[in-house]
Amino acid sequence: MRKYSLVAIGGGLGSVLRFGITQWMAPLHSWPFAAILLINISGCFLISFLNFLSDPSGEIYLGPNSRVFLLVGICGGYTTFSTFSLISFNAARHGAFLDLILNIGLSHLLCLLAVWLGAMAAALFPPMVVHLIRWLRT
Amino acid sequence: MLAMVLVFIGGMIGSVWRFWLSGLIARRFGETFPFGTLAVNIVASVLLGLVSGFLAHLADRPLSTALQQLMAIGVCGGLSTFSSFSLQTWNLLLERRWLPAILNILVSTALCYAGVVLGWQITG
Repeated sequence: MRKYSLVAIGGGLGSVLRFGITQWMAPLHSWPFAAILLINISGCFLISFLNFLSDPSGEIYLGPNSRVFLLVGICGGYTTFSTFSLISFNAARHGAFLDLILNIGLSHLLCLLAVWLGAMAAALFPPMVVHLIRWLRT
Repeated sequence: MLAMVLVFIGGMIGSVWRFWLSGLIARRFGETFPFGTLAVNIVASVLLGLVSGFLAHLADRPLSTALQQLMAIGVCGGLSTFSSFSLQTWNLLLERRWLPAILNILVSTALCYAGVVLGWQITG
């Protein structure tokens, strides 16, 4: 029951953050897929960073409740597959097939790249913190 | 402010639904392939198609905006996930299971797209 409450709160917060970013980007009149693409890329970086940071073999321990709150709640609620599919469909309906291909191709490619970067960042982060603390002490 | 509250409530419902359904499917079909995430993304896409088709007919603007925020942005957005999907694809790649990784991308993209179209055909 505790886990369900954590997923609910995290998912609500992630969804509001996604809504806020789309609202903030709407007046910029950028490429119509840019907001969701940016959200999914940043969410993929975050879930990968947190996942590999708190891996059983990782350096930093996150308890099962924290993992559920951050990974399933925040990251899951923040990113979206349904809106990604809907805007692809809308592009096809309006005959914008180049946009359709670009949206699908870039989303998958850049999100996987973000997962890779998140894993890299998680590997580099703990040693960097150790170095920083040593440097601050000297 | 009302918009934020509607999105928050919708996101809570969608996320709890995702946690419950993906867990149920993962326990039922095992975790060798991310069937749970695939299932929630398809359900969310059909629902979003249904909601979008319905909203296209709705003349009442304030009600239409509120429903979009609660159902489309909140529930469907919270129910579906791109982050878990990409992380699971990445884990398949790490395990050198190339075919399941590529299938996960192709099947998710195709079936979620088809889900939106199906929903839209019913109500649109």
